[in-house]
Amino acid sequence: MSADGKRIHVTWYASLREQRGISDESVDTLAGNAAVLFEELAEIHGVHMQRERVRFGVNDRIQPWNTPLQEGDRVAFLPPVAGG
Amino acid sequence: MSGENVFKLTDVPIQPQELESALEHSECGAVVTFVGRVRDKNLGREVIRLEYEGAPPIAAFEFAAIEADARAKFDVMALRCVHRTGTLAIGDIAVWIGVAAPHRAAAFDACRYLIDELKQRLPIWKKEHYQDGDSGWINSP
Repeated sequence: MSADGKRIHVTWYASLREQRGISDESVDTLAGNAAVLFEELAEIHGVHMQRERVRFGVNDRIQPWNTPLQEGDRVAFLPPVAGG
Repeated sequence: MSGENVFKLTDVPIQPQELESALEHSECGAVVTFVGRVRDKNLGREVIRLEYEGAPPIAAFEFAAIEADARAKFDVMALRCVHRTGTLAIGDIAVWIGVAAPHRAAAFDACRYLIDELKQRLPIWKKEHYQDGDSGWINSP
C-alpha cells in the first residue's frame, strides 16, 4: 500500500447487503472518504444505488459523505431507511 | 423513575404492558402511546409478513440524538421507544412509543415527533413479502 492506502472494515445493510452478497468485509483502499469508497466497491461488485441516496456510517455514527477515512475505520453503507 | 428512558431495537415481541407501566409517574398527568402494527396491504399489494433489519450500533447513537432533540423541544418526563427487528407477521407490533408528561399537549406533540423522526432518521430497513411470492425493500429497490 502507498502512504495513502488503508484498510477499512465495511458493512453493507439491507438492499445493499443483498446486492453485495455479504454483510462484512475488509478492504484495502486509496479512497479518501466513504462516498468514494462506496463508488469504488459498487463498481467492482455491481451494486446499483446512486451515491446520493446512500448514507454513511463511520465508526458507528452517521457522518457526511466526505468525512476523511483513517486506517482501521469501520464504514457502513446505509440505503434509504424505512422504519415504523 | 424520573427521566427513565428506553430507546432500543429488539428482536423479541414487544410487550406494551411492561413498557407502559414504566411511564407511571406522580408528576405526570398525561401518558400518550403510539403502537405501529404490521398491516396486510401496502400500495395495493397483499403483504404476508415483514422483515426489519437494523444497524444496532448506529441506531444507538441516532436514538440518543432523537431523544435529546425531543427533550429539548418538549416538557416531558419519560420517553420510551422500541422498534422490532427480525421477521414479523400481520398484526405484530413493529414500533412502540410512549411519552409521560405533566400535561397532555407536550405528551401528544412529543409522541408524534418521536415517530416522525424515527421514520426519517433511524437506521432500520423494511422488506415486505407478498402473497404472490415476490418481496422487496421499501424505499430502496
